[in-house]
Amino acid sequence: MGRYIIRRILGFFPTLFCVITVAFFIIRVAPGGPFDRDKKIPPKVLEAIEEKYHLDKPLYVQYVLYLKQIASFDLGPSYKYQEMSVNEIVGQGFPVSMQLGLVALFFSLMIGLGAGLIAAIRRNTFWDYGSMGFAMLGIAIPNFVIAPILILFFSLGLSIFPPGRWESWESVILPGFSLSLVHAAYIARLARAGMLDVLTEDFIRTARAKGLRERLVILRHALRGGITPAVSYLGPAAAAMLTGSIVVEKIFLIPGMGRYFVDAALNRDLTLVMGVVIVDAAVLLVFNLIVDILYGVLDPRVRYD
Amino acid sequence: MNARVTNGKPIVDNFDEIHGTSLWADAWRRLRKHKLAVAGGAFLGFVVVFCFLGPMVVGWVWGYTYESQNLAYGAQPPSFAHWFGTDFLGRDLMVRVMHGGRISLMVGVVATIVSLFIGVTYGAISGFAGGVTDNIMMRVVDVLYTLPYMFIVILLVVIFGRSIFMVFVGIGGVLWLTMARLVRGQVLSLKHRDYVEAARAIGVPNLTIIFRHLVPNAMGPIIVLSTLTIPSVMLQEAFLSFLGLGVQPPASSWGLLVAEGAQSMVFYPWLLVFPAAFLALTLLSLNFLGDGLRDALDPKTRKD
Amino acid sequence: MAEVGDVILSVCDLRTHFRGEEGIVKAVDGVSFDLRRGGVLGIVGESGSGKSVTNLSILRLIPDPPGRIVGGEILFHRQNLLSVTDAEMRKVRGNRISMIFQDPMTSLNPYLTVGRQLTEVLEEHFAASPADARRQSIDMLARVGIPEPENRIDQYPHQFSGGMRQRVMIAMALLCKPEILIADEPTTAVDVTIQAQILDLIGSLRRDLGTAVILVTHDLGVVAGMADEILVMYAGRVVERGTADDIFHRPSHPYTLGLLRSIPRLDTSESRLVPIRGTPPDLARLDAGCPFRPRCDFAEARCSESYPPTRTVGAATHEAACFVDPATAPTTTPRAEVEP
Repeated sequence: MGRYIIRRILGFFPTLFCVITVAFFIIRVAPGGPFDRDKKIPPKVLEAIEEKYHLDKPLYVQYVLYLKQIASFDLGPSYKYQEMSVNEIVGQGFPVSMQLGLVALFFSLMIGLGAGLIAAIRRNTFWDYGSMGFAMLGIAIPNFVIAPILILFFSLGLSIFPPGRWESWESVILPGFSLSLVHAAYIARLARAGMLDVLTEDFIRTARAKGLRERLVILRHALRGGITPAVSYLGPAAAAMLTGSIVVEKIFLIPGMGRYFVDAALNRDLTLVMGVVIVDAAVLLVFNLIVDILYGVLDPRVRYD
Repeated sequence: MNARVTNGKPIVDNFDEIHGTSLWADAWRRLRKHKLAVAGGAFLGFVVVFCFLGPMVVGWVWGYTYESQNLAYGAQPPSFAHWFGTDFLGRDLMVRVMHGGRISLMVGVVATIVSLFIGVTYGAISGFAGGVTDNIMMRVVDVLYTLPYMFIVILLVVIFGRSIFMVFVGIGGVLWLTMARLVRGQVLSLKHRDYVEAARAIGVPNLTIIFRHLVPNAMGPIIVLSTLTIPSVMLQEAFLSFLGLGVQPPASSWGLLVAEGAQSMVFYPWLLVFPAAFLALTLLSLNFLGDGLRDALDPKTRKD
Repeated sequence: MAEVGDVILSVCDLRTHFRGEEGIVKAVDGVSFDLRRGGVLGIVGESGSGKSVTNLSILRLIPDPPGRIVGGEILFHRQNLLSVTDAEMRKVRGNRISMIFQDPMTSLNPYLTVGRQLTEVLEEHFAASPADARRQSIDMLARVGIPEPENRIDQYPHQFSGGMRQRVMIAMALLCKPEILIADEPTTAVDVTIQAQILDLIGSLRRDLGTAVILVTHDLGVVAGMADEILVMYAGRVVERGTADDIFHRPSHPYTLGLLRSIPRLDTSESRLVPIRGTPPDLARLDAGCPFRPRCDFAEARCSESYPPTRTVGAATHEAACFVDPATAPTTTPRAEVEP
């Protein structure tokens, strides 16, 4: 097990290397440079800036220089936020996005698994139709519609939670909830389908034939297999929640990673875009590993080799 | 089966004659029994007619288009002249919803078709080739998967700028990854079936085997995934429009209308309600249709 | 053989129906039988004849929807199991009546250790302590012939072979020393070489524990040596019943005759096997007549009019539901014409 984890973590590096390479060349191939739009910059100054950032050199030289820089865990200077390095920007934005993401992850698990299990156990009843109806709405209504409604209701109407910004612990509830809804909806559907699948298995009939109480049949015999599909969805979903939602951060004015990312891409802030890509990819790899480990915990037939 | 009805009771004469139904006929029969899928399909039919023929009818009856402004008549609630009300520039919301629906639907379909072509071809070849080729092709998919999705989408916006259709051709070019994995899996499980071995034994070329024998037999899951891809693309469009990166005014899309409406929902709720209802109901319909198709095409995994 | 005592289970006119896409499927339609203490009842029939549904009905394990027990009584020590509460029913399941299933590969939970699946039965029914339950489980595993039970109890089902898993299933079923063991095709999914061992095991445990057995199979050969009484089922009904002697030496229903002709026998010189033609009927489309008549060599006009009454053949224990006696009646459809 320990050896498996170490091998997987070592396996991150070639993947990250591929991701960095692909992203690097895609960005450079895209039209426009970071300083093209600022018409005020005189040509002489522009040349000096480009020389400073090695943008005047051939692409492959830039690539090698960038790799060297990355190897020392330095994401370089931001082209747009001149006074800050990418490490600093990520260091500010990522913890915020991560806190928001953890709250959203918690909500989506509680709501999603709860609704999915109830729907499966009380199949074809009010509970089933109710939770699946809400799940479909969660999937079909974009969160930039849900979030303003939540603000309207809970902040402006009931004054329970603040409408935005990043100040106290209450300020994470509404954005976290908005961010969690769509994932909760998917988890609910996957958990329901998974449970219904498992409940038709022969070994569930065996458990009932042994005279076990229904609670034991569900919790001990069905649950592990039933939530497996939801767990496999959880890897990419958790990574997406933790690396920041552009929409939710924009609506609630949260200084997370998502906001920087759009700005950076639109401003051709190449180093910042690369920095965000690398962090996001790393988080995704870590969560995929966590999911694979969870598989092994849930299912003894999974072998690590 | 020969059934003669006497006194309301069918009398079966011949048990030996087994009536065979094809997979598709059988699936169609099951799909028709799936009430939500039928309702979804019907609503989609209505939406298509509404969006593509509606503007003509409105232009003929009332004489305005999605661009016709009437500033003196701005932000009016629904009335007989403007069923869905008007926006701040006095444009008729119903025509704008119709027009926006065209763009949203076409964007969804275009991106899905692109993902279908690339994904099916790539996945089928990878699965059929097997061995080292398969390994390399799937590593490529893994790496592309690891690239943050928004990175690629925003990059596409940067590259193609205002050409929203090229952006969604590009999004289709990202969504093929899931399709490729699905098709590869199907091909892997099908390629050692006897009929494939038989085709190989009589010297049928590989590409013919892939596209005549393997892909048609994987059609069920492919159709289901496609039906579920369309709504997710339409949601992507809505997000991009919300961020100001999608469709640019005066053109509209449901996403753009919803984004605009969400900003003024307290005082002008109809600006949000109508486009949001169309977007949500269409997404629901596509999801229901997808669920129904999955149940119909793969009876083993039926849930209801 | 153990002493066969009083009737402990009496199934009367059991009817279990399923709602299908094409109408109501009468999977079990009026089945009756008695099981005596320590006795062995064999139930034989093709797939879809209702034999498994009959047994699942006894333990009320029919998934509802789509299935439902719509009529009859299941008297266990004179108490109707169909009218007891769910909680009372649970006390019967796995404790006084237990069941083993056809496929040991899928009937054990792959996520739990064998030990967990064994001990929970004792914990549920006798509130046994974990240590006590474990000790008893190890004893039982040893008794069903699992080597090194102290080690294997902590393993998962996928670490056992098919035959060993079926032994685990048997151990699980017998932990509470049930009065009745229902074995639903216990040998169908295991290797031929293991089949005899499994049957021997069930037979010897029955002798030791005095458990009555309902042995369900589609293979007449399996019940031949074990069963005191045999039921032959077709399309949800019992078409013939009798002792093994009655069934094998004087088959009195054309279907039983067909079954016997289609199994290979070593004790006769006749080497030709005669299959039953046609396929089992669609249970959603049965009419008032005998459902076997399209496949029957003795069918007459009256067979399509009403279901034949049960008649006694020779001994009082031997009954068949057919208008004709295949031992004496002429065939109405010469075989040569119907065979392709």
